Amino acid sequence: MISEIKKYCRELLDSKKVDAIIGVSEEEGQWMPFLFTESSQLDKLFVDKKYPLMTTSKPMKENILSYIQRKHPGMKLAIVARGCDERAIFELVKRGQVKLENLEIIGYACDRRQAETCTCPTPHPTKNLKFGEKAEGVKEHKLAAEFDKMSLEEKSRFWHKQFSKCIKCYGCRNACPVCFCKTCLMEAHFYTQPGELPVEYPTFHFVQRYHHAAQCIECGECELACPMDIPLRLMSQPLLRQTKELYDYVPGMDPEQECPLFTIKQERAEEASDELF
Amino acid sequence: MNYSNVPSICPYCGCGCSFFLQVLDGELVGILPNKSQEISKGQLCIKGWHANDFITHKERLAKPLVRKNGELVESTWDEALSIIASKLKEHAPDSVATLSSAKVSNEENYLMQKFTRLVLRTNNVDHCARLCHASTVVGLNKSFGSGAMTNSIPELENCKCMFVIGSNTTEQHPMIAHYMMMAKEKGAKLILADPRSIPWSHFSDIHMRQRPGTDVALLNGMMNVIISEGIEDKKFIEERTEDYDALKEMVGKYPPDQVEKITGIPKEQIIEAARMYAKSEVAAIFYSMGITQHTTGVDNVVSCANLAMITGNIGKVGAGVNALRGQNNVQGSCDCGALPNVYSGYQAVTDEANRKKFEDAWHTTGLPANPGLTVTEILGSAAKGGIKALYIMGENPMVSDPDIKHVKESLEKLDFLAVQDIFLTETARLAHVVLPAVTFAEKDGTYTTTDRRVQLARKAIEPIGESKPDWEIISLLAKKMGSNEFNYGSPADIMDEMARITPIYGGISYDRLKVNGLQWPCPTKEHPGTPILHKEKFSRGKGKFWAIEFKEPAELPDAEYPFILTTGRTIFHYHTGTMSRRVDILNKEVPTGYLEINPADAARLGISEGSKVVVSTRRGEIEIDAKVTERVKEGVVFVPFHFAECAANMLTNTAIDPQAKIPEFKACACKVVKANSGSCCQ
Repeated sequence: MISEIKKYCRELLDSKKVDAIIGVSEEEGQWMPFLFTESSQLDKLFVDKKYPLMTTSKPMKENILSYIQRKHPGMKLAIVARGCDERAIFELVKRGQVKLENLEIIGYACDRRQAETCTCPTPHPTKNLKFGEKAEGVKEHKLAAEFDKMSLEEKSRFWHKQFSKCIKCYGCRNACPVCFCKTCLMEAHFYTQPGELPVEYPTFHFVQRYHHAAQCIECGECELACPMDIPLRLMSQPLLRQTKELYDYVPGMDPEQECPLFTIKQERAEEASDELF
Repeated sequence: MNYSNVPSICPYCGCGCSFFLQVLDGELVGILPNKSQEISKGQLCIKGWHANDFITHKERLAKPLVRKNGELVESTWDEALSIIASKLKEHAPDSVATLSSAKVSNEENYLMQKFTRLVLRTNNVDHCARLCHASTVVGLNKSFGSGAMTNSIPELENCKCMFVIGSNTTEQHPMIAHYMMMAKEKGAKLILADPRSIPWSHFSDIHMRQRPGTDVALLNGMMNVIISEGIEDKKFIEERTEDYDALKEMVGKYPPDQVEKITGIPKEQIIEAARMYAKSEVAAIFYSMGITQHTTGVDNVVSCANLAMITGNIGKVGAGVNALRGQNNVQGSCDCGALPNVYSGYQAVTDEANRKKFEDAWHTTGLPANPGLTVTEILGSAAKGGIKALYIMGENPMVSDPDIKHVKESLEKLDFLAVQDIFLTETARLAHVVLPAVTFAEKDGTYTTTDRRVQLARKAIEPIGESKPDWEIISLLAKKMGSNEFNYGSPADIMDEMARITPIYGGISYDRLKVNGLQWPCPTKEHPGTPILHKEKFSRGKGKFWAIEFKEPAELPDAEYPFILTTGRTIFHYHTGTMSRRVDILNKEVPTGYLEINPADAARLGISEGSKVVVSTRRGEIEIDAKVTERVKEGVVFVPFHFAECAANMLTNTAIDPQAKIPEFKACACKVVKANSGSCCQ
């Protein structure tokens, strides 16, 4: 598959159909997001391991696609995208963070092994699949079966222990490809006493989950970024199930489909921010 | 249009997490964790995620400053360097000293000690390792023959039992805590010895809360239990160690009931901890400044080594004595010879053959043969008029050193002080000349983690203003002073020179440093590096037991100063705050210092949460907010040391360990009173 993707990308760059391609490069065991501007660079293009391209470049808070589109508005871009990358782009499009104009999504499917590694329910792009065969997704978190059997009290103890590990790095938020608010409720002092470890239980951890009940694209980057291995998606999944049942909405499937839980305009959130922090 | 991710190393702690500096059209736009490096694996603590924030801060020094009519005013590089060159030449070699830095690269530390020894002709070069792990360098060297962490970070998930003594790992070394937490989730036991309640307390199987400064007694007590119950590793002791009988006889004097009286720890806990540690298949000790920063720092370290050796926990995966080094390059600054008694690679200056080797390499003769002064001695000597000129690179003794009033007096007594830093620090404000240096993001360089891993960080952006990399500044100054031995095209050249004369770094060169670096000893170009020390034999041959008796801290509470003051850090800031206090999110979490005091003590003194209190010792006093908490026991108070406006080190004791010369930051006697309303901080 990789050689076909490279061939396709080479043609795009050589024919000047696009100015640059966002993808992952690999060199001497180190892989990272990369902006391919010359076809000779495409030897380094890499799809074996995940590096979410829409991860924000800075904790507060803009991803590299958005940066480039803002700084170089006329630029024709392509992005070599997994299913989760495409879903992130669609959710950000709905919220005015990135644009689909002048952007070609070169989608490829992940195999079943990768889907299992990521517990990914939809391991392929839904609108722009160009390379690879669709594999079956994985619906349930690896701890879900065990968790569902617990009594309410056991569940409470389970989360208490998990959250006691938290070192307040904000990595779950920083690594999230669909998080972009300039002011973030996780930093609001009325939820948690600042500067304290362990972090007060449990709003700090829940607020992002609630906010993303109709926004989470299940890429798993929050869990991967957590230095204490807190199973954060185990909290998100019931919320996402509810959103599906109540509104028949799955985030990231279609850029045209409006999110049922838009509750506040971004501009108003900005206005309110001074009172909150 | 240019976008790149430049591989770099976090400039905060000794874990050495790699991340990418994201650069768009020459502008630093953010940080991305590095998923390919085995320490970080794409995870960072809050400081790492924001390690770019201070780089472009508006207060960065952009021009050299020279003091004229009492004021620091902007100047040129030529004028600033000419002044430093002439002032350093004015005094006899041993009246001059330099402080190197655990924040700059290996190459720059190597150059600073070369400059001091070759150009200034003195061994008076030291740095803040003196204040954190000098006891480790001396102590583990005495016991094992190598003064560094014995094992590696990624293997820690295989621990079966972790004994954490004097390390708040979760806050101070978050990614090491990550691996330890993985071990815990897999069923490892966790024994904690710490006077305070810390994040580990929630997960420990046993938490022993000793009276500060009684660690030797506790460790001897645990060994007493292990030996008297016959659960020591007789084979290991027999085959791999020496001088066991003296140790055995000495620890005989520390039965658990006796140790309970000294430490305040119930004897049942001591017995249980000793059994748990000794009976585990592999058990690791983790320590940091709770062990080292005492007048008995070396004794504490050696006692940890004794405990590991009597149970055979050296040279195995997931075991060892894991001294967790603080700064991002404090291991490297020691390795590269920024110490008064050794050249790079711990080669003693007193050894004639070593001197000859360095004289040949540096094309000179007559390098000074006597060990120079340590940080603590340099300041002491300056106060008495001994040291007259001091050149400081990337250190801030006005916050980091004990008894700041005395530090200030010493620095003000100097005939000349030059400071090279990225911001106008509390120390730089006292200088005659201030040189603007660059941060890690504006230069190439290698940094060595606490697990002896030499890693390469690449230049991501151009220097801010007229600032220059430290290696260039030192080279320019050396040339100004007439030396021909500082002609380097790049930091890689400096590493090549150092590798030729430094056996433990012998095989290290820039082209070999991939994403996970190389762990020393790495003596040859083919050598793969050494994740675990002392595997078949100790660096010194046999592991040596030292029989160490318990000694009290230098200053004990009394009627006038009834509390024990202990100091430390929080996860949200770093050391003197030069970097972390210029990061918004960190200031939002913790804006200033505080005094932790037990509710019972607070009630007796009429202190409530947030009350202003005055804390005083025989050295000085500070006004600070009280935090009433069970985290400290009655009779003990705690102050984090990052905050200049209520600096813990106004209070701390300059009493030092006789061998390592490390000050006793972790225990002194203090008084706490409620501040009068309206009074203000001095």
